[in-house]
Amino acid sequence: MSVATLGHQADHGHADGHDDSQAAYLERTRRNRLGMWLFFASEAFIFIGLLAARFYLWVDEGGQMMRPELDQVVGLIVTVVLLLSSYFMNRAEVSIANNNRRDFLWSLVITAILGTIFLVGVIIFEWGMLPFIFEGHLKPSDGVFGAVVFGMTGMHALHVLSGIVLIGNVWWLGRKGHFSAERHWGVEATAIYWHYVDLVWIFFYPALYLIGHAYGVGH
Amino acid sequence: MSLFSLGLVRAIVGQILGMLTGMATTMLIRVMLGLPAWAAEPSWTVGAIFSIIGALWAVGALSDWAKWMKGEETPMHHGPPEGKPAWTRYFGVDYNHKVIGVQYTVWGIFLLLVGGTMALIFRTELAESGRQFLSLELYNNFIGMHGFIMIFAILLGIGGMANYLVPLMLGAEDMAFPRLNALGFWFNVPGSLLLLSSLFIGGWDAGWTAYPPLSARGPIGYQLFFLGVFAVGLSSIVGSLNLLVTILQMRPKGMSLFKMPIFCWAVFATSLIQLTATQLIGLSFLMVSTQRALGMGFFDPGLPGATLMTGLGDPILFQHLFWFYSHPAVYIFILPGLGIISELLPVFSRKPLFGYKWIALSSLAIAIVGFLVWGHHMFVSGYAPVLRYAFMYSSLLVAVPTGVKFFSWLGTLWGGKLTFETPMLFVLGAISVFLIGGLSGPILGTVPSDLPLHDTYFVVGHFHATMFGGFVFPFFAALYFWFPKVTGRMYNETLGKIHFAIMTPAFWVQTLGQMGVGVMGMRRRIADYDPTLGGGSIEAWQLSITIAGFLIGFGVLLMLWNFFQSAEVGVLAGDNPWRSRSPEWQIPSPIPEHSFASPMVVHGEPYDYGLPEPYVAFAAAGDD
Amino acid sequence: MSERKKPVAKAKVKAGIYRTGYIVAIILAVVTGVEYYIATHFNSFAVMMLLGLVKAYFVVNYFMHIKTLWTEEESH
Repeated sequence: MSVATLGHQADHGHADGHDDSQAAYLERTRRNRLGMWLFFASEAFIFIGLLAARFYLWVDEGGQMMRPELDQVVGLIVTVVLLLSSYFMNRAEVSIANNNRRDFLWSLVITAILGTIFLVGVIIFEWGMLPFIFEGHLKPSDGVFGAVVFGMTGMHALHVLSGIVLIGNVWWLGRKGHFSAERHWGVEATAIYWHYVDLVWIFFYPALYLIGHAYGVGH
Repeated sequence: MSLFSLGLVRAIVGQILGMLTGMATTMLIRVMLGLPAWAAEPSWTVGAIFSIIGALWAVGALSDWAKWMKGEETPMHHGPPEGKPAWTRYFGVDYNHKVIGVQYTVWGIFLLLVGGTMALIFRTELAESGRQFLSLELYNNFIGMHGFIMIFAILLGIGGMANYLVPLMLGAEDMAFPRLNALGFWFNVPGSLLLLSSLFIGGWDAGWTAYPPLSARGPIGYQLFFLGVFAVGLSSIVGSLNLLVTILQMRPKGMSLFKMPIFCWAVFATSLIQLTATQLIGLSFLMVSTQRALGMGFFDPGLPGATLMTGLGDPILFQHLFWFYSHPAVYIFILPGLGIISELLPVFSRKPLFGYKWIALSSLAIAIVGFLVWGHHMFVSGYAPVLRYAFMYSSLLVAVPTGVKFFSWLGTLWGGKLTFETPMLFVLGAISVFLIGGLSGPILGTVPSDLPLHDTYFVVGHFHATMFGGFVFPFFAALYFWFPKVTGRMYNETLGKIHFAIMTPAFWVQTLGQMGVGVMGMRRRIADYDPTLGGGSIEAWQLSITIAGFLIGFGVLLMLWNFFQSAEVGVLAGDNPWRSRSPEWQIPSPIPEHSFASPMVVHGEPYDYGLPEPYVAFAAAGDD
Repeated sequence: MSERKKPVAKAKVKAGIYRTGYIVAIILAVVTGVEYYIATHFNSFAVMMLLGLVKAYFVVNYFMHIKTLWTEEESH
C-alpha cells in the first residue's frame, strides 16, 4: 500500500483522517450534521413519550383534560427567556460565520446567562428547591401531577444544563481563537442543540401550563 | 506489561471506583441535608450512574472528547497500540471498525453463554414437577435475567455483524464516527456488568418485562438492572446513529441504495428502529426508577379515592411505553438475521437474489409496521376493547412483508446449484425454525386464540422460535461464513456439520415441546407445574425440552471449540473461499489495517452470480 | 477610494445578517403571547398544538437551518 493511496483514502473514507483541506472539512461537517439530526430524532421520542404520559395521566374521572395550576407568571417569563436565548444563540452563530468575533463571544455569554435564568426560574420558583426563597407548588410525590411536572421539567432541565456547559465550552474555545468563519462546526452543533432544547420547550410549555382545566393545587 | 494496560481491567476497576464515588457523594449530600448517611436505594442508584461513567472514563472511551473540549487535536491512531502486544487492542479502546466488530461479537457470545447457563439451570429445575434445588427467588431472578442477558447478547451480536460488515460492504475505510463507535461498544461492558451484579444485591424478580407495581416495590436489584439497560440502550442508539450515517453518506460512487448488499438494507431498517424506539424503554425504566427513588407516582394508582394530586398513576401506561420499544425490539433482533439469510442464499445457490427490491423494502416495511403493533402484548391487560381490533389487524399485517421474504428465499433456492457447507446448512435451519415461529405468530396475534394462550408456554415456544430462526441460526451461519475472512483460516467443516446436526433437531424439539406444554396449560414464569397436565404426559415433554436445551448448549460449545482450534491450525482459507461477489471477499483475508488499498468502483449488481461482470472492482493505485 | 468604501459595505452586510434573527424572535414572541391569551380565554388543545407547530417551524427552519441537511452549501 503506497502513501499515495493512503492519502486518497483519507478524503473519501476516513471519518476524520489527516486530510486538512476545506473540502474534507465540509464533507465531515455534512456527516456530523446528519448525525446530529438523527440524534435529535432519537431524543424526540423520549420527549414525545413524556408528552404522551402527560396526556394519558392528566385526566379526571369525567375524561376531561386537566392541568395543575402552576405559576403562570413564572411560566411565561422562563418561556420568553428561553426564546430570547435562542435568538442570541443564532446571533452568535451568524456572527462567527461573518467573522465578527466580538459579537460572537458576547452573544454566547448572553445566551448562557439567559439559559441560567431559565434554569434558576425552574429550580427555585417552579420546583421550590430553596423553600426559604420561594415555596413551590408541587412535590415530586404529589400524585401524577407532581410526577409528570417533575419528569418533564427535569428531563428538559437536564438538557438545558448540558447546553449551558456546551456554550461555556464553545465560548472558552472561541476566546482562544478556535473557530473561524469557514470552520465552526462546534459552534453550529452547540447552536442547533440549544435551539432543539428550545424547540422541546415550545411543546412542553403549553402542555404544562396552558392546556386543560386548571386544578387548584394550593401550597 | 502490567495488567492495567488492558482496557477491560481498567474499565472494571473504574466501574468499582465510580460506584464507590457515587455512593460517597450520595452519603455526603444526605449528611449535609441532615438525613441519615446510608440509604440503600439512592446510594446504589447514584453509585450505578457514576459506575458507568467511571468505567468509560477509565477505559479511555471519553478521552478524545475531553481533549476536544480543551481544544486539542486528536489525530487518529491506526494499528495496534504502541509498545504492547497486538492482541491487547481487542481489550481496550480501538477505533478500527473491524476490531470493534470482533469486540461486540465476542462480548455477545460471552453473554450468550452466561444467559444460556441460566436457562439450563432453570430448565433442569423444570425437568420434573415439584421443586428440586432452586429457590423461588432465584428461579424468578434467573428467568428475568436469562431474558435480558440474551437481549443484550443479541444486540451485541447484531452490533458485531453490522460494525464489521457494513463498512466493508460499502467499501468505506471505517464507520462515519469511529470514536462514537468505540464508545458504543464500551457502554455495553458496564451495562452488562451492572445487570449481572444486580443478582448480588437482591436481584429483580418480575421477569424481563419488569411490570410495575411489582418492579416498583421489589428489591434494590431493580435499580442496577434499569441502569444496566439504560447503558446498553445508549449503546444501541449511538451505534445505530453511526450505522445510519455510514450507510447514507459513505457509499462509493455508483452504489445507489438499491445496489447495496442486502445486509446493509437490513441494518438500515434495524437502525431506524433502534435509534428511535430504544428511548422509550429507557424512559419507561427511568419512570419506574424515579417512582422508586423519588416517589414520582407515574404508575402508582394510590389509595381508593385518590385525586390527581395524591395518585391516579396507571401501570397500563408502563406497558404502553415498554412495548412501544419492546415489540419493535424483536424486529431489531430478527431483521439483521433475515438479512444474513438473504445475503448468504445467493452465494450457496449461485443465483441472483430473487426480488432484491422487494426484500429491501420488506425490511423497511417490517420496521414501520412494527411501530404500530405493540398493543398485541396487552390483549388481556385491560385497555379499551376497541384497541384489540386495531392491534390485531396491524399485527397480522406484519405477515405480509415477512411472507415476501420467505417467497424470495424460495425463489432464490429454486433451480439453484445448491451446495451444503455449514453456513448454508444454518441458513436453511434458520428458515425452517423461523417458519415455525412465523406460523405460531398469527395464533397469538388473533385475539380469540390469544386469550387462552396468553402467558402460557406457547408464547415461550413461539418467541424462542422467532429468536432462533431470526437471530441465533443466522448469527451462527454468519460466524461460520465470515470466520475465514476474520481469521484467514477455515473452520473444521465436519465439526460444523455435527454442530448443525445436533442443534437443529434439538431446537425443533425444544420449541415444539414448549408450545405443546403451553397448550396443555403450563403457565410461563412459574417454577412448578401440575404433573397431571396433558393426561400425565407433561413430565416427559418437559424432560425432552430440557435434554434438547442441553444438546443446544453442547452444540454451541462445539462451535466455539471449533473456532478456537481452527484459528490456530485451520487450513489457510484464501481471499474468497465462497466465491462471493460481495466487496469484503475481494480483499485479502485477514483484512489489513486499512481495508481497501484503492478506492472501490461499482460495476454490476451485487447478486448476479453467473455473469462475468463483477459487482465491484478496485481502481489501480494512483489511477482515479 | 476603495479603502473608504469597504467599511460601509461591511456595515451594510452586518445589518443584514441579523435581520432574519430579529424577525423570527419577534414572531416567536408574538405567537407566545397569542398562545397565552388563547389559553387563558378559550382553552383549546388543537389551537395550542397548532401554534406550537407554527413556532416549531420557525425555529427548525430559520434557527436550526434544517435545509443544510439536503442542500450542498459552503459553510453559510
